[in-house]
Formats: sequence, C-alpha cells, structure tokens
Amino acid sequence: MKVKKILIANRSEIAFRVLKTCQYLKIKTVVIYSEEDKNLEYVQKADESYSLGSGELSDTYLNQDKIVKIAKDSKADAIHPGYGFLSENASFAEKVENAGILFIGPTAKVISLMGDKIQSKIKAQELGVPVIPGYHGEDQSLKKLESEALKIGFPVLIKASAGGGGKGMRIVREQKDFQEALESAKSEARKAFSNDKVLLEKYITAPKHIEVQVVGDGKKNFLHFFERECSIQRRYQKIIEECPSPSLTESKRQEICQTAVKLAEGIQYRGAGTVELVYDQVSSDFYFLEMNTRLQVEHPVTEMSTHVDLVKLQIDVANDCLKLQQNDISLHGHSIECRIYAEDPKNQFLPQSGTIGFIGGESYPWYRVETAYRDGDEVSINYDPMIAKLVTWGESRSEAIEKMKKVLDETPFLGVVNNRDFLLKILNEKDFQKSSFTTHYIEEHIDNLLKEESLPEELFFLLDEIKKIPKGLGKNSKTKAFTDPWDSIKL
Amino acid sequence: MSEKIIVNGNEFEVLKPQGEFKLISVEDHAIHYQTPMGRKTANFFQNRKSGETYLSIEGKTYCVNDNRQRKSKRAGGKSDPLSIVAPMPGKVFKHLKAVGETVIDNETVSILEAMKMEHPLKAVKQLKISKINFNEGEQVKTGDVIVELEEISQ
Repeated sequence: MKVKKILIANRSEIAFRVLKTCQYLKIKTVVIYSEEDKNLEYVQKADESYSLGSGELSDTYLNQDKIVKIAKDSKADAIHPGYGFLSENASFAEKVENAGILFIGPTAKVISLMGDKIQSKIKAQELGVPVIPGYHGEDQSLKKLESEALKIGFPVLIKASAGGGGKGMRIVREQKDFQEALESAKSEARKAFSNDKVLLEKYITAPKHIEVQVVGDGKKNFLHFFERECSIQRRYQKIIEECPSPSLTESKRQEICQTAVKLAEGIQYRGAGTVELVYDQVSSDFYFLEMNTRLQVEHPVTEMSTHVDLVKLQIDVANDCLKLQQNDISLHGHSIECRIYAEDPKNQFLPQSGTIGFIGGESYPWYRVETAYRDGDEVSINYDPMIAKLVTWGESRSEAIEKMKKVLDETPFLGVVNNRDFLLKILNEKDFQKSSFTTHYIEEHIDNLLKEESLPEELFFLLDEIKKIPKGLGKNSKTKAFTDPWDSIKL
Repeated sequence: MSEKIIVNGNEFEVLKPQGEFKLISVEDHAIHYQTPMGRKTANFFQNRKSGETYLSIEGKTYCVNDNRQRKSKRAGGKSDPLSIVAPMPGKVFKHLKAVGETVIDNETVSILEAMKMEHPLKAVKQLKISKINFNEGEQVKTGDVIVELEEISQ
C-alpha cells in the first residue's frame, strides 16, 4: 500500500517541514492544532486541519486518543510524529498501528528499547558499541547509588533514565553534594516523565557531542548520512549544529559512522534515527550516549551537506521502498544551523513570549529557514521557545560561518527577546571559528558572550527619525517576509 | 535635567544626535541612512501596545522603552535583595524555607517550575524570610514577588 494521506502530529516549524515534503510528494496532509496555534501558516496550508481545543498539553498535542481518532475520521493512512511530543512514545506508536494506521518511525518495541537509557546501553554494549563507564542498575537506594558513584569516581553525572533535553540531569563534582543532587534530579524526573529512575555515569571533562544520522528499512538496508557536531549547547540543549563535524579525521569519521550502522542493523531499525555519541577530544575515544528514534531538530544540516530529503526517506521506508544505497550518499561542503530561541541569554536563557513584529531575512540559494511564524504572530509561553532554524551551506566551514553571520544580521526577529545577538557573538569568536570547543563552550565563554557594549552613535538619531514616521508604517504587518507572492494579487 | 530612556533593561541618558547622520529612506521595517562610514540599514519595529521600539543595528538588537514617565511596574526586580521575584510565568513548586528562617548568600529560597523545568530562586545575601506571598502549587506571573525577606537584626 502506498501512503496517500499523512496526519502530522506536531506543531510549529517541524509540522511545516513535514508538510512541505508531503506536498512535494503529492501526499494529502492533515494538521492538528491547539487554539493558540490556529493562525500559524502551515495550519492554513494543509489540506485538512483539525482543532485539538485548548488547555494543557495532555488535552492537545499529547492527547493520543483524540489524535488517533482524528486520523481515523480523516482517513489518514499514516501519522508522522515529528520530534518531541509523541514521537518517542511506544504506546502511541502501538495505538496508531493497532488502529490500522502506519506510524512513521520505528516499531513500538524498538522505541521502548532505545527510549530506556539503561536497556539501550546494554543493547549497544552487546553489539560492540562502546559505552561510558557507569551504573545502570535497578537498585535505586541512596546507599547503592552513592557507592556506585564512588566506584566510577567523581565528577559523576546523574541522569533520568527516561529523560531528555536536560531534564532530571545533575553533575556532581564532590561526594558531599551527591544526596541533594540526587533528590532534586529524581523529583524533576518524576514530574517530567512520571518515572524517577536514574542512572550514573562518568562525567567526561572535555567532551564533544557527535551524532550520526541513520535510516533503516527494518530489514536489510541500513544507511548512515555521516555525522553532525552539536557541541554548542546551553542548559544541555543544542543551539548551533553542523555537518560534518570539524573535529574528526576521515578514518575516525568512518569508524564512528560504521559503528552507528552496526547498532541500527543490530536492532533492525526502521525509519530515521540518530545515534548520539560523546567524543573525547583528548583520547579520540567515543561512547554511545543514546539513540533518538525520530527525526532530529537539526536534520537540515545533514540534508544540506548530503543532498537528501530525510522526510522523504522516512516516507519511502513507510512505503517499504527505500532504494537509496550507501554508495549514493556522500558529503558535499559544510552546513551550519543556528536555532533562534525566544529566550533571554542575559537572564539565564529564560523563555520569553511576545509578538514577533518583524522577522526579516532575504533568500539565497545556499540558505534555508525553517519557521512557522510570520510577522505579527504571537509566541506563547506554553510551548517550546524555539521559533526558527536558520541553515546555511558553504564549500568550507568558514564560508558557511560567514554566510550564517550575514543571514543572522538580516533576520533579527524584532519584538520578542531572543538569542540572535548571542548566536552572532559565538560565530565571531575565535575559538568557535577554529572549532576549538567542547560542550562546555558556552559556560566557559559566557562572560565574553554577554559583555555589555556601549550604545551605537546612531541610536538616538534613528529613534528620532522613527518617531517622525506616520502611524501605519512600521507597525505589525504581514506584507514582507515569507508570504506567497500570489497573495497580493488576490487582494 | 537630562532625559533618561531604558535600552535593553538598562537606563541611559538621552544624547542629542550629532549632525553626522542623514536619513536616506524608510521602508516598512527598514531605515536607510548615511553615516560618515558609508550607507547603512537598520531594521525596526514599534510595539505600540507596550511602547517599546526594537532596533537591529549591525547584528545587535536594542529594545528601547521610551515611555519616559513609566517606571517598571515590577515590584522589586532583580536588583532588590529583599524580594524573590518570579523571572517568568510558572508555578511555585517548592519553598525550601519557612517564615522566620534565615538564608545565606546564594542559597535557594524557592523553586519555580516553568517550561517543565525547575528554576531555583536564590537569595543574594544573608537575610531572614519575612513573608511568603504564594504557596506551593500557586501560579505566578513574571514580576510577582513570591517571597519577601528582611535584614537580620543583630
């Protein structure tokens, strides 16, 4: 059976991203939205869209029964879960398949295996993939955990077994801080995942985050699409990603990518996934961290550097016709992604809300922007504060960086406090340009990155000129960026 | 007396612009102007509801609050050591201290839960808890004073 209609069980830029490939493939789309999101562009562009009402996430984007019912009623033959929300929820995948609908992703069994940080490591180890020394046991008593931490040696990392995105994670540098950190990690984990089981790990002092994009058909074809490096992180979340990694030799790249394929094959992986690794810059050793069994936020850098459409490949797998072979896939140049977050870098990166008055931006053949927002849209505090992803491609890393500086300069997202200036500062830093960084880069450079500067001379001149502009100009308008040129004709 | 404006949360004195800049043209959200160093373009957006003007000049954003008589309505603010203020909307998850107890510099007073994360709210110096305005589980808005503190009488 060939997929003819897909329900996209997500929101914002990733819903839009999936919608675009579906439209190109002439697959009908069904979009679901909360009332807060009803004016976003993709909701209007889908073939069908259905409201999930408003309120808590559990009533809207996490309401499994409601979503499956909409899929059935609208006769969708597949569900694309995007990332986050229900994308790695095994019981949802099962419910979808039990309803006779294809789940675009791995089987429920593989989702739960890889979603469990303990079981996934045991499996990886069985398959010959190196893992970080740690304690992944069932005994969760303070006494046992503390003695295991001592065995591993401080510093030690406490992580929620079911976690992600930095929730329920604590670094403990000394034994005396262990108990307090453990209790707070457990309480955070209990709330975020309804599960307070934790694991312990050796904390690596100079780590880089390297991850390998894989796609498998669940049977015999298991492919890698090279690696991404995502070491630039704040609060354990990535903000700049690139493909390929500037830190690997060609032989190390091959070794790492082959290892990821070995894992995908070993679990008979179906769909697109990412094998996340920590790479020790000093020893060149790498360790398996986790596998994300879904499309990743930063997938566009892989697409730009390998010239593939990963959403199309996911659909190919769902249609049981993944024809691409490893020899067809090669690296071309370098690409970089910057994530624009509505957050305040000067105030511990706290999420912000407000009206985006002016996004800005030009289009270039080497540039791609992923966003669901248009000028005048509201950014709500109730959802993830990521509002856009900017992606540039260059023949070399330095060219991709220069291009990114240009597009960031042109795309200020005025109206809601965001991290655009902060990203530009990073791109201008010598250590970033030389790719001399670890996942601690932002922590280590924070003072320099947040240094206050004096006001530019022209600020007061510009303010006076803006004051003279008659009302009607310069206010909220949806006329400039990201609109369909045909819209003006319809008016 | 000199006028003051707020730029990115900090107060600055309003300066008379020097005569070296000249307006070229204004588009929807772009302003083109001549400087001694050549032509430049800045982007801007005026939020008439909040009275804020946003400007982007050479990759830097300036949020200007020109509403001169309007003082920040937030009680306390992060410079006031006697208030534990919600930095963002959320729910009071936990109070680690009760009224009458003392805290030391950098000690966590309360934990705010927002965006599914826990944010510790800390004291900036040694003080005593005098009042708790929001109980555990209550929703707070940005700027709400969650806990009030007082100096410790010797």
